[in-house]
Amino acid sequence: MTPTLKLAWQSLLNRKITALLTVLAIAISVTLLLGVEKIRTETKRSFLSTLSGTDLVIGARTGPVQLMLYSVFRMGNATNNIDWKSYQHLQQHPLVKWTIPLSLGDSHQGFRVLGTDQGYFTHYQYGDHQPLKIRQGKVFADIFDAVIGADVAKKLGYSVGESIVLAHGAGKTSFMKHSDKPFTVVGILAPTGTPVDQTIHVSLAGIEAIHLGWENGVPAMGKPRVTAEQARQQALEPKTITAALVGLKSKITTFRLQREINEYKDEPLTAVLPGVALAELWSLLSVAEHALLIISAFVVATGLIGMLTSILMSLNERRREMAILRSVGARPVHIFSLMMTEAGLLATIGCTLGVSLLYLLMLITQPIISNYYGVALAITPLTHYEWLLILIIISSALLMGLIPAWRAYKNSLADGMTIRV
Amino acid sequence: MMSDAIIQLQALQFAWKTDQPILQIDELVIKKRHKMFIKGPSGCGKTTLLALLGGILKPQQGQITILGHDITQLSNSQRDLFRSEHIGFIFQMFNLLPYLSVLDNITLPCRFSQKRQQRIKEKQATPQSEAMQLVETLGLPKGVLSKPVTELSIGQQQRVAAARALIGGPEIIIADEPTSALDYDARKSFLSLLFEVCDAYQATLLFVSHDPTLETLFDDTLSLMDINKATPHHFSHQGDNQQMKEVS
Repeated sequence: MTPTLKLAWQSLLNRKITALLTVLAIAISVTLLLGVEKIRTETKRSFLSTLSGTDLVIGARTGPVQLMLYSVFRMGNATNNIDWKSYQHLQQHPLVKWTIPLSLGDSHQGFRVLGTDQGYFTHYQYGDHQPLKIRQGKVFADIFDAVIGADVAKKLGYSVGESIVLAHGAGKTSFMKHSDKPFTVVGILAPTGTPVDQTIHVSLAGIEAIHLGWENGVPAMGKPRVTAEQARQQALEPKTITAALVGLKSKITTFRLQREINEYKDEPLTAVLPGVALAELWSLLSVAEHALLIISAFVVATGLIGMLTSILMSLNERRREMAILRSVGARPVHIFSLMMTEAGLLATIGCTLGVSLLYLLMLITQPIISNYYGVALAITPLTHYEWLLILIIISSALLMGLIPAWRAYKNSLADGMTIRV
Repeated sequence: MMSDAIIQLQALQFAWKTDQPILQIDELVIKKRHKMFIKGPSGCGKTTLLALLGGILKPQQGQITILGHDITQLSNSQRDLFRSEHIGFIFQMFNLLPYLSVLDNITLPCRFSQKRQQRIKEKQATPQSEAMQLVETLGLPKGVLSKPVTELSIGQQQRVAAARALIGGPEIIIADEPTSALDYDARKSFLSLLFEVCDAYQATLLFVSHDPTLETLFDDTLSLMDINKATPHHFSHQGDNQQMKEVS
């Protein structure tokens, strides 16, 4: 095989430009395919790790996906709230280690406002059990303090000390503003790559304070407005919250507590396992993921067909070459293996270049992605699945190489040593 | 007794189409180490004869005995192997591979033939050293070996082709109009060098040409027109690509 390998290589070098273009077409298609595959697995990983460390997510009776959407992804609205008494009951449950209350419903410039307590900053985890980090400032302490996510700070250009006015409702433009009770930004969170980045966090008491004197979602008619100072004097215990995150003392009891909550007598509640619900949510999104993979598979096919075309096109002008080789003792088998080697070489070099290109791109984009999205793109060696993809590509190239190899074989049998000018 | 015969044809018949034989030779004997001039007008079957001798084509009838082997009895791949071991070819111009260096072109047959490698080894040489020696004998400058073939003149290219045919010492050299692109002086000097190396390698030379001025330089002349019993009018016009080259 070595003489044919060397010959095939030298023959390819003689056709540098076409060979280079073919290799490049294969390389780019391989980069695209593996890149899509990487993005797919990374997004999935990042998506599934939006919330970690939390054993149960609890809300009013609803579907698991629905509950995850509004409590964790802050998309859409809750249809119903949880009574504060139910939350307190949960807090004191012997199986429960910690709870985080979540109260949604207000917004600022299109970013959701989340009412919670200090436990949020100690217990909330994302990714591989990473806790939230304050990049600047501190956690809220006063009723009218706010801690903003990294995206909020970046998009709105806010820094610590900024005064913000919350709006009632989740829309970007709201006519109902809590302008009488402005909040002060006291802290900015480090980016996490999760919806936390797009959230403004305030205390539950703060949420309660801005709604004093409101009834049914509008300021109560005929009653005097409650000022910020007056609000501070009142008891600001919430009556309801939207959802709660629960951490258990022992994971073994997860299902037990889930059943208990689902059968809670005082109020219809839903408890979901975040991992299960996230996976369910992801399966809804995987249609797009598969479409992407199919498209890149077609791009690879295009690259390989390009290779086939260039080899087939070269056959006629290479009849002389084949005849010379035949005259110096090459048998048709040699001609056949020469053509196969050429296809194999093109595909192998293309794949190698494609993989190198992929890692180069990942090295370049890794710091950018972690800076902007807080997602640590893992530069890992090729997985078994990715090796399999490469193997499939090279095998298909060899399979396609059979066509020109067979034609060259037939040509060399017919032409013999006759050199055509 | 034919002990000094290297090639023997007997009752040979070849046709592209069964009812139109283009080559029909009752008997032809070529002696060892002879330099045979083969002449004949275009289309009289010269190239077909060479393809038959080289084992590229197989006759419908008759025997082709080379070095004591009837090659018509061999399979296709055995004939290929036989050719690569015992016969060296020189063609018209452009018969070197442009992407190999002169050295790689000369040593090319050694890549495909164990026998040629073995013969070189027996002389306690390497393909490289043998190529160097051939280049020297053929009057080419030593520096030529590392050059790409495209930098050589046509006369030099043909000498490189001769070196390639002779490397590893095949018993028979078949030259198909190798001088047609050279001027008269270049032809004569090429021929005398070719004779010299063929003598040195004890090779038998079959030289096809339609240039009558060269005839006198050879030991023997074979006029294909005289021994080919097939009528020249039967030359096939379609499907016979072998003929095209002789016209060109």
